[in-house]
Amino acid sequence: MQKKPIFWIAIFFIFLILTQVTSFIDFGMNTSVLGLPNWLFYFSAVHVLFVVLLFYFDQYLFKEKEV
Amino acid sequence: MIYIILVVYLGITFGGSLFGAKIKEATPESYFLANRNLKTFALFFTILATNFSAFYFLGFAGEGYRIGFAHYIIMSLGTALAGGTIIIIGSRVWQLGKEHGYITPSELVYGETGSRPLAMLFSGVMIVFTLPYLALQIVGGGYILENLTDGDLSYSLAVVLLTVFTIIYVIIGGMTSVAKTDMKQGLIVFIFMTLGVILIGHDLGGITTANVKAAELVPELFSQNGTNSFYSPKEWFSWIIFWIIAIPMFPQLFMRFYIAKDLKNLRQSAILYALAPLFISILPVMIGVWGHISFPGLEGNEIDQIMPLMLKKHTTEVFAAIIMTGAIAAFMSTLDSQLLALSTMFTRDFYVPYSKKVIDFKKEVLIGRVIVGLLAVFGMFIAFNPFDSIFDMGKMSFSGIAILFPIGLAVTRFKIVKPLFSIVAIILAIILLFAFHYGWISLSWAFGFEPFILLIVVSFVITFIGVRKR
Repeated sequence: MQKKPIFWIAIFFIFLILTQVTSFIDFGMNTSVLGLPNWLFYFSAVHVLFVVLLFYFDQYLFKEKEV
Repeated sequence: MIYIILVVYLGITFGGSLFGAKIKEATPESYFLANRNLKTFALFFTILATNFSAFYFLGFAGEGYRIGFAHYIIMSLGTALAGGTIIIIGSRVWQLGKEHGYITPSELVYGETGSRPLAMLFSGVMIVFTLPYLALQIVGGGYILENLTDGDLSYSLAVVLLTVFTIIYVIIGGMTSVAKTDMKQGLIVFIFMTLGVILIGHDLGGITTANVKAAELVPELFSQNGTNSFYSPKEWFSWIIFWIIAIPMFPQLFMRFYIAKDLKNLRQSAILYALAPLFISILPVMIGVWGHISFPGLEGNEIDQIMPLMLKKHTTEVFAAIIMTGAIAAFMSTLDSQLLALSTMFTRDFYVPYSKKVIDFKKEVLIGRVIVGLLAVFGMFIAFNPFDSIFDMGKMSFSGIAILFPIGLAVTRFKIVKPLFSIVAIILAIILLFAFHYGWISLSWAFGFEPFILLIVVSFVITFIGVRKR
């Protein structure tokens, strides 16, 4: 089923909230791998998630055009 | 030894790219847009190298020293999100450019709105606010060259040498050579920065040990908000949003949307562009954080020097020379792109439309080359006496350019744009920008957000009042 623009607006809005969690969560300053802070890995995961979303959004946007 | 590395490195990087440049047969399409023929990887690296400049090498390391790892997230995530706006705006810019033969951003604005005043204002704002960013590359190059030669070359002389070298290179090469250099530079910067982190980390007892030491010295460098809560939630929001909006509006980047061979190449480049900062942004920031171990207590513009200081202290002389020469070449690869973009815009947006005589292609390219020289010299004079730190010069420049985003979005995606609204939006936002910068308006008017958020909101609201979907 072809997704509607509102679907992608909602997805990216949720994603924007994921990038803003520092407003509601204090991750503290604990460190782990390579002595880097734990919260840095959360944001790295968010970054990778964005690239995946962008890939599918790109497919959606240009499939629409071809149809 | 250092001079040999400088000459060999710059000779291979820049000289090699000039091979095959046809100075006499150039047409505007070939000189300014590399014949719209770049494939995915070349396009990706040229976008990357154009965007990662002195601001990346010196500015990121400086902010890593000043703020900590929070700066990495802001820059990597913010830059990644710009991949989305590149797909949304860039793809339409490419399509419209291909259909109508647009070369400059302003030609697209004029072609789609029919308003010459709006097109000229759009171009003028891009040019004026890119100049500090252009000068910033010369400043960065000057700092590094002076440092690299232990002061044998004074800052002023370094600035002059770099400017002259870049002028000659851009005049001969045009976009094809610039893009070739960018590709090499993109790869070299990534490889050498990674090696730099490994070598400095090793000298400090290993990457983990270095981070633990830095955390003991200044724990706040490891906090999610940075030192002194620099990135408060509102600041955090401001900066994440800012890069999404500012990056596609840099003229040297906007014009790269035209040069893709096809749409698929541009879309693939945008996705790679979104992924790359995850790896490359942490490298200078980490070196900046470690700077507290070796050079505690730096202040003001001294902080911008943390990268060369760390390289010289913790790596061999030859390696430090290679990586710093790489940094100089990176600055130049941004500078050459900016010079080419601005000279194209000056020539085609302000000279050609108002010239009483018919201007042939050869003359147009010749005028473009003359303007390259004039702009570079202008940037050099700003660099002699930089008005702010590297980061703050960049911030001023990017804020002015970000104002144009709503107009760029409206013109490429909504078609029917009432030019008067866009003109008012740009002028009002610029007045607000200067009012905040010079303190005529209190920062409290921005409600805790960065002032540029207010400018962007104003520009968006006014522009979109005048937009109709076709």
